[in-house]
Amino acid sequence: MVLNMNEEEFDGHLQELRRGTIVLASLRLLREPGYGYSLLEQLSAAGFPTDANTLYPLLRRLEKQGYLTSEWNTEEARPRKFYRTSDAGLRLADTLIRDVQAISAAATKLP
Amino acid sequence: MDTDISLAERYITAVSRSVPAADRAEISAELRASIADELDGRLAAGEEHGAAEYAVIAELGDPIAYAASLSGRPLVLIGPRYYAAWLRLLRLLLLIVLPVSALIAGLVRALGGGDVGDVIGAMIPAIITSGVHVVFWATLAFAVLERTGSTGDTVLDWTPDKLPRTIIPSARLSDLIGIVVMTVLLIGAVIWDRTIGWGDAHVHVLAPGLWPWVMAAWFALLAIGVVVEAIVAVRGRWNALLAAVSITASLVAMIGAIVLIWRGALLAPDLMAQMQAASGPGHDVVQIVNIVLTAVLGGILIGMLFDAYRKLGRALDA
Repeated sequence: MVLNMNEEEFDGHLQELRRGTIVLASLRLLREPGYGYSLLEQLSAAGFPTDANTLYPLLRRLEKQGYLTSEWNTEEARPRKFYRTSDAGLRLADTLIRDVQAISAAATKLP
Repeated sequence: MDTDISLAERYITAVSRSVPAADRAEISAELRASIADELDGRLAAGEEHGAAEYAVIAELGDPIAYAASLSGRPLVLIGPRYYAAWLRLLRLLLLIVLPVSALIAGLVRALGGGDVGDVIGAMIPAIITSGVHVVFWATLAFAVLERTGSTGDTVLDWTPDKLPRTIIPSARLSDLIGIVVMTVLLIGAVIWDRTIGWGDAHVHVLAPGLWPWVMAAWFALLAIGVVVEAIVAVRGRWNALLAAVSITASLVAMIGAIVLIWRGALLAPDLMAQMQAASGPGHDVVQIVNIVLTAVLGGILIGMLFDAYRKLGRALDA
């Protein structure tokens, strides 16, 4: 990626472009239950670097909308809220992926 | 920097204070775990504890902003949905209220035997006070509207099917919002007048005898005005019947008020007594105030009639 040079200058636009893809990546990654911080790490490793203060509100919103379900795990020393993608969330992710692919295909055809 | 309570706990407290009480315990617990996890991550990477904690909190940012994004609350007092309507109403109200209050304050001072300096001295605080009141109450009304009216109807939920059958020009919608807010402000003002009163002396302007029946009748007339404006917003245009109802309601309200003024039944007896006390052989303050009020109400009525006539004319042309 040679993008890095201009990263700061283009920050606002890049953030806007990536916002939707974080929803998509989270829905896919949370097919296996995960908690906030683990998901941040996974997202970062998967190539979707995300800020904590973007991700946590997004998880709450997706849960409220029924695309994620949640459960508290209190077995370990540190109680954590685990999220998991619901069936509706999986359908949403499929749709989002189709769309991203269509957009990327269309983008390569742009003059 | 030696405090007993850790930076993380202070941050969690600040966030939880700004989220709805029902979600508070859960949000705090989740935030506590997240901060601890991130801190562990940074410590494992070799960072020093204090600096790591500071960095984790700094990354989360302003606790009020973060709490607002967690609970999906707007971070603006008046957002783009209502900004135009707010600005329009504020301009209109200031244009009407400031000159009228300055005029009345100046007039009262002049009748009380003041020179030019006294009159101007009375007008300036009247302008400032009424301006602050108008701006504050109008802004408060729209800020409440922003918080109560903007849930659920997000851009995501929107489909073309949700377009109204008829076209509502945005000017018409802000007419409706404007008249609703103005009605609420008017009713609020008369209730304020009845209960608390104005200024340090808690002066009541309107006669207590108007409650409840005359006021009920007036509120009903105001409600008719709102309903007509709502029908117009939905239909998209005026017609002769709606215009007639609107004009009749305005006429009844204004003429009723003028009749009450001249029968001495509109203003509070205390205020009338004060005005009589201020009167001399050459000038009857009560009469002058009555004339001014009649002129103001008549002016507003003519303005309303002209506005209705213009809108009706435009609707019939179209």
